[in-house]
Amino acid sequence: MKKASIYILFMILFTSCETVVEVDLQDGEKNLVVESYLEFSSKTNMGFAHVYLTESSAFYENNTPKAVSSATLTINDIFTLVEHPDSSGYYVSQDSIPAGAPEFELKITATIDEKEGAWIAKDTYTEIPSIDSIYYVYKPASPPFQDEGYYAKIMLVDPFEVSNFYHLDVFINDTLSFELNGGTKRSSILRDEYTNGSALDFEVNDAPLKYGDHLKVRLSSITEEVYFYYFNLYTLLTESNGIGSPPPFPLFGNVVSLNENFNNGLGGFQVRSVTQKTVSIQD
Amino acid sequence: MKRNLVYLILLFNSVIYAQEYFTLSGFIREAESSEDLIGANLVCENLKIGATTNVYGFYSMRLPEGTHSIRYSFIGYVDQVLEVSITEDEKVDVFLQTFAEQLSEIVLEDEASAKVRSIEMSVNRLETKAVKQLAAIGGEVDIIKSIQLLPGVTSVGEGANGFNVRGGAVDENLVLLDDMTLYNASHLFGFFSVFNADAIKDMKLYKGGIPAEYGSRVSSVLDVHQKEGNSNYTEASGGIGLISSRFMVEGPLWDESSFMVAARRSYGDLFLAFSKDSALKDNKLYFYDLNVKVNTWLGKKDRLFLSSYMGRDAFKFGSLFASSWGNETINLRWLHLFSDRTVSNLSYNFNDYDYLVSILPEGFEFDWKSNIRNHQLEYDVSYYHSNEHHFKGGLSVNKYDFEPGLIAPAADSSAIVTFDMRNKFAYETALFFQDEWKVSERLLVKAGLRWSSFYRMGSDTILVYENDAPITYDPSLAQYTNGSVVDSLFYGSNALVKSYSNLEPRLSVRYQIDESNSLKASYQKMNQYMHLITNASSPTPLDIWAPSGPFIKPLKSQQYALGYFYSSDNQMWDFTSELYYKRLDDITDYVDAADLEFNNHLETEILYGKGRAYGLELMIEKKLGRLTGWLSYTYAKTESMVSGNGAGGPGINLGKWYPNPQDKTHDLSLVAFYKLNNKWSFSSNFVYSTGIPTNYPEGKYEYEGIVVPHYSGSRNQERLEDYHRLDFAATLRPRENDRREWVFSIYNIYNRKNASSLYFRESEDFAGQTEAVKLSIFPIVPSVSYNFKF
Repeated sequence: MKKASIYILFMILFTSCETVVEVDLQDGEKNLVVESYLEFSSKTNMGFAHVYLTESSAFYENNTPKAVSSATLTINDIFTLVEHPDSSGYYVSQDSIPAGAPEFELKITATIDEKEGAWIAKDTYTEIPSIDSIYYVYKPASPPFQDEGYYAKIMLVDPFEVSNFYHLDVFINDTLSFELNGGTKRSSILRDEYTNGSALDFEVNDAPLKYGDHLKVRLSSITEEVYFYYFNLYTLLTESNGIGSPPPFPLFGNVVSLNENFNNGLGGFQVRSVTQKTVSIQD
Repeated sequence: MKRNLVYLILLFNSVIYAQEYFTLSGFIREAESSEDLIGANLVCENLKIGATTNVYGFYSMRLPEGTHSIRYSFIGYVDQVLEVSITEDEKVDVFLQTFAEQLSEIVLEDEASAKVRSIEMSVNRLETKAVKQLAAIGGEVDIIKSIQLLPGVTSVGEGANGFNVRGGAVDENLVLLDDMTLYNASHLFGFFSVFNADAIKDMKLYKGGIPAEYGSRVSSVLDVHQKEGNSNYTEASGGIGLISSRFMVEGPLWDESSFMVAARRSYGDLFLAFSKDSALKDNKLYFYDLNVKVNTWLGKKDRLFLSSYMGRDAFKFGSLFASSWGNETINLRWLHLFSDRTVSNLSYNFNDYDYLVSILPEGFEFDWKSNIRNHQLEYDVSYYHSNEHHFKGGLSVNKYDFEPGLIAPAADSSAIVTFDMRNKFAYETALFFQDEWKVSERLLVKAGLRWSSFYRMGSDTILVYENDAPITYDPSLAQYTNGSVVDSLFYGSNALVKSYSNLEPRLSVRYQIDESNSLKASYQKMNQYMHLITNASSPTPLDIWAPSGPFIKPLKSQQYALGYFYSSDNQMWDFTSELYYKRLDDITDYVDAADLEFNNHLETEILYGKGRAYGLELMIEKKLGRLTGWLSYTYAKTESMVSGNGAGGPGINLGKWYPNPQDKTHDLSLVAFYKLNNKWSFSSNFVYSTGIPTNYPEGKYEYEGIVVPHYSGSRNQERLEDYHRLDFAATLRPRENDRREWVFSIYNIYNRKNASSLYFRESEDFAGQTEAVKLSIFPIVPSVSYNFKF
């Protein structure tokens, strides 16, 4: 747990108040934003790629992000992604992609504001251990952070011989569970620096479950670079620009610009191996 | 006629030449308690020779044979004039009565003329009497908050840990309590300091002109001394407030001895014990301090002191996490009077700062501990050679043990594997010598030289990087990354890993124009071998200290200062003005998104650069009358420049100068005290300062449904709104000469929502819309406290 989190938590809990203010901001250049995933099933080792391209905008612009349409995308110069007819800016692979290559390369050519840009992103395939089991327990309230209810737990064994990094999505009744702040959901990330080789048995939901709730855990393996991208993203969103916090920073992932028209892309390209388990709370 | 005149002059000179000089020495103490008075003055009125007591209350002055009128004085005390007949070395101990009827209780410095006369510049002394009268948050008198009302002393905001002096970072201040080093001088993340004002006798802040006897930090020295305890009779005192209560007892043990014990504890969490909710009862939030001091004379020439301080913060939130941190220090000191002119001080200190964090969620329970510990031996000798020369020299040896981090499972079922960051070891030594030289009636010079050395020792394993570059820049990703490790070197126990050695000259000069005016100048060169690892605008209690070594270089500073001092003839008004310029080399700053926690290889996150700080400090004080107080104003700039250096790349802020987090262009404090009568007195503070630097985004984007502010590579180019606040306090003594009083205070009277931080995020109320949110800490806070003495 970041030390700054403890500090800010204390401050917010006990003393502070928030006021929305107007600030005069300077607008920067537009950047390409890449949400791209090449996900391999842990059972079949076949993958499916999906990419969502948008543009960055001015901070106070209150529109949904502008999709980047009609872009050209390939993986390893072999697999082509096509734009979904019903969803502008959303590209999917047409064929299944085998997990044979150790590294995958996504190439993007797109036009933003009548300027053509080219980008390339690389990531590496990693194995995911299987989830041995999923179960739930009832817990009484533990104020101020935990309400009473059911809490689901998963068990798995972290492989000893490699450094493992995990991405965790938890859905309660098909809705992403973890909250970044009021109204904003996020995933969770784990690393095995302090649990290498251990048998893991941990809770996966922070909001309590009740009878009839349905929970799905989606656990993915990610590379160290992708782990630190998420780590820095959550740090930027929760722990920057205040007393006891580090200064904010431009967060770029692994999307490299190939010409001078544009900076490196925001977001990133991830290669994941995915496993999942579900459980329902029954009487 | 001329020949007669010549004979007369020769005869007169031969008489003077034949006069013998003797030493007048002794201690100046408070009459009621026999506490030593630090910085008290004595003046031989007929010869215009002066002296000042040292930190032990000792003075020494050379006088010619004859009868002399000696005036002993100290602000807040009744002057005493003694006719002293000097025919041999004389020892005279003086006991001064407090001046109960004095209209002014403000003690910022010694008497006005002493400030003009003294060679010290860039120094402030604040008596606890004044501190106790200042309006304070929650009624908690606080020394650290009080010194921030002085020019050149600031903090980055409410709730910030520590303080900043002339733009320096928090870890650049050496905080001493009876010579014991305090590594974290704050409670509750910076809301309060560790100093129990009841236990404190004296404090002095050196912002510049730091004498050669001090070292180890580059920006300031806060030298705080505890009371010795009342040698004449036992008494107790204390106070009850809304946040904490305190109690102190002091008194004699046997002849020529005394003790002092003071304790303080906060009690917000005690109310949780009344909760019906069993889980809520288990939560904790408190801090405590315990100050102890014992001293005794062994004969006429030797005095022993034993001082100790223990303080701790603790909090626990349900089954989520628990944390505690604190200082434990002890000092054993032997004061020896070789003669009336030679005093030595041998001191052993043990200082320990540690923290513990317990993460409690089931399956991942672990304890995280960190610790810095040092043993220190110091010896110094003061020799009052003559009224023209006062020599002082000494040496110190420090042994450091750093335990930066140990993570261990806290339950059998925990999946956590033990992780231990390598311990580090070091020695720091220093030799110093200085002379305070009275060149003439007008010109006083204090010159010193300090030779400091630092030895980083094994056992340790040091990585070797390709091209000696622990950090490199990847231009394609536009990010700094870890350098390639090509080898590692193991150093056994007590093997020398790296050493540094530096000369640190110090110079202060005073030119006294007349009784009311003086000019002063100072120069100091200092080195710092210990660094608090943080990239936050204000450090937290959970940050670690790291020693210099093969990769982390010592921080170096040079400071120049020039000042003009004026005191009105009636000593009612003082005016001081100082210009300073400070240059820093080998400052460290961290790359964007630096990973500093549990990082055994901090060299992969650090870039080096230089810094500069300069400013103008003005202060005017009214010291007499019913209305007293001061107005201080500082214009200052503090900035850094960090380029890519050996790592390549743009560095920080594209390699251009950028403001430090503690940079405040304007800082103003207006402090007023008004004594209505013997029952009621009032105080008020108004503070104003430029907002601290901050960063604005230049755009936004969405990633996985989350709105993310996008920042450029610039650093600290914007400002929060200006900060200002008005506080008020009223003190009531129900009966004249009563030793009990009520203090009513209001912090932030007009309830200004001062910005502590500025966040940019998606609106919680309107999905898809973004907003800037100002975080404010303290609204209007009324409080009442009760102080007593018996």
